[in-house]
Amino acid sequence: MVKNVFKIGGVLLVLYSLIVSLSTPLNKGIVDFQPLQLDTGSNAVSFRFFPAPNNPSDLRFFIKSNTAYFPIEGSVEGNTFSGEVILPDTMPDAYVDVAGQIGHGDVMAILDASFVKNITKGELQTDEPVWKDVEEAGMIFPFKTILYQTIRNLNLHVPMWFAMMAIMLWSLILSVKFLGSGNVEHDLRAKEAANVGLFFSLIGIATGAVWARFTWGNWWVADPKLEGAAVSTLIYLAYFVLRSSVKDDHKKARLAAVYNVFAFVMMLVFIQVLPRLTDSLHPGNGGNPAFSQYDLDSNLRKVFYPAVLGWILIGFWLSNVRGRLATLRFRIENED
Amino acid sequence: MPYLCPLMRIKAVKAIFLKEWIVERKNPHVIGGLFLYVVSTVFVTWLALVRLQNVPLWNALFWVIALFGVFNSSHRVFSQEIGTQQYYLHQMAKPLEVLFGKLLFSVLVNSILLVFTFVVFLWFFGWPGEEEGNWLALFATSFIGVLGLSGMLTLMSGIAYQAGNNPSLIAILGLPVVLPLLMLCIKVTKLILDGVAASVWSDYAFSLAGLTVAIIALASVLFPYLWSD
Amino acid sequence: MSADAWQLCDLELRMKTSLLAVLCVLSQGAMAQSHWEDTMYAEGKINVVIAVVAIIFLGLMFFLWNTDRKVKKLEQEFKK
Repeated sequence: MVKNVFKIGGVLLVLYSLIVSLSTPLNKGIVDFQPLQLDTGSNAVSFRFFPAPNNPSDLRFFIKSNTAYFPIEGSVEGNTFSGEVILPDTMPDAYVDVAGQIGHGDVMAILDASFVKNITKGELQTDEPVWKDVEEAGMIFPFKTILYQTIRNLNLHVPMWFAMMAIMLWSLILSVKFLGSGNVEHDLRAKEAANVGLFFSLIGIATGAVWARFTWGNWWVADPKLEGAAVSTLIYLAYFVLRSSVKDDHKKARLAAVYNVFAFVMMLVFIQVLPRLTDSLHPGNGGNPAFSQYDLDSNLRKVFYPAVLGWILIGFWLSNVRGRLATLRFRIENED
Repeated sequence: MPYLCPLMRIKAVKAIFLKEWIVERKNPHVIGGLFLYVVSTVFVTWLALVRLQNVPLWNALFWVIALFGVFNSSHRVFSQEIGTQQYYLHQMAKPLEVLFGKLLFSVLVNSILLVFTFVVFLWFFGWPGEEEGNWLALFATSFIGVLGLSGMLTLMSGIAYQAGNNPSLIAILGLPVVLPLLMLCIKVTKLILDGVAASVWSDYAFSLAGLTVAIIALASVLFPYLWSD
Repeated sequence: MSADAWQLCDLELRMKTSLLAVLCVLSQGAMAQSHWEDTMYAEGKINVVIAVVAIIFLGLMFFLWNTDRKVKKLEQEFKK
């Protein structure tokens, strides 16, 4: 039957997204460049890789100042590269980047890694290094500082919110159906859908808090998306308070349906419209460089979209089961 | 033209508006209580802070106190529907006419309340910041905000009235849904108080106006389901 | 430390007190991040991913348990 296809499809999609997002290796990256201030002449520098490189002999690094490249002569020990670089008196830019070929495909770099003191600003041209061709990487997740492995959470935390929006929309549709038909069972199914949506939003907040604590440094920050999440949860908690304060089934259904329509529209406004008006820590808003809708790595996309769809289908399954339970109970109670 | 639209007669809306006015004239202590509440709250704030020159804080406190004043006034909208006279009148009137009659009266009361709150704030704390603000823009945007607030809270008080006329239910239901509107109001008025050019806050003002229109439209669509008994 | 202590010309006493001060500062730094925080930050923060998966799983199980309770209530009503 059609219903079973959706359920099995949901399970398979979520399973695929879980397995792939947890087993795909991460790209390599440079972190912790020392020192933060360089001088003209000889400098001892060091930085770490994430994770440890396979072929140390393939690695070449340069200090890059605009168009000028200065090679770093050094050696790799475990996770750390330490070496020496000689900088001249005249350079195009005091703020320097570190560029190196350690990743698969593109040249890896930390932008504005360090600052060179006591230079005279002037044009300088060196030969651009020839980056070697590296082998095709296959399936690999991008490396982002601060996030490291937690980039996999993209396929775990974010689908919770998409699933919540889809389920709340379904709850709205059921409420409108009730207002049109007067059949209380529609309202009961709307209530169960709101229940599942609330459940997803609570999981979203919990997972988001854990993720934020070890990336942004705090369990909660003042950010429009987080505030939108909190407000949505409050709105639907109020929905359940309203339901519990009325005894008669038909009146309860009518009042709850009216509030549901209003609540969903306001939630939509709060979540979609307001974050676009302000700055935000969240990726994709307020000029945050982490990742945006257009910037999402193609490998991540392969896992992210199926995960979202899978969790939405799982959410429908959950609300479907609860809805059948509620209507069954209603019919049994009203039979006698 | 007697009909504003097939569902609303202007005469009926006027009649309900006048009825609200008469009821309030009979019980002036209800609205008087609102003004007293505003004065007491601002006085408590003044005792706690004494000086308030910080524009964001002044603005935020103003809107929070005004919001709770409007919440208190929204309980009044449906709580006086006990007498048989009013019941008979509402049997004659269509739901949309009831909504708009009560809504227009609410807007009147809440606008006066908002202006009163503003005056009391000015009296205790003075004008925030150094810039001479754009008074016209301030009052226009605040009025749009009050319009949206009244629309939303009239619907909420209608729900609460049907659910047992519990005043705290209005706050429980109303507070989360009122937040988008409130945040927009706070944002716009803060920018106007800061004295920035119109191009900066006009986007937010248009969003505010759009949101208010959406709220009134939603309330008009939903209220008949609430009122049919 | 009071001003009197520093006026002691005793070199050994001065060295001991400054060593004590340095040790206090250093141990503060070591205690700044507790053991469980270290595990969460270690290994490229993979433990954060594990924690998120655990939360989702626990949430689903809680939902299942809740539904189970509702079914039990319905069975009891049906028996009447």
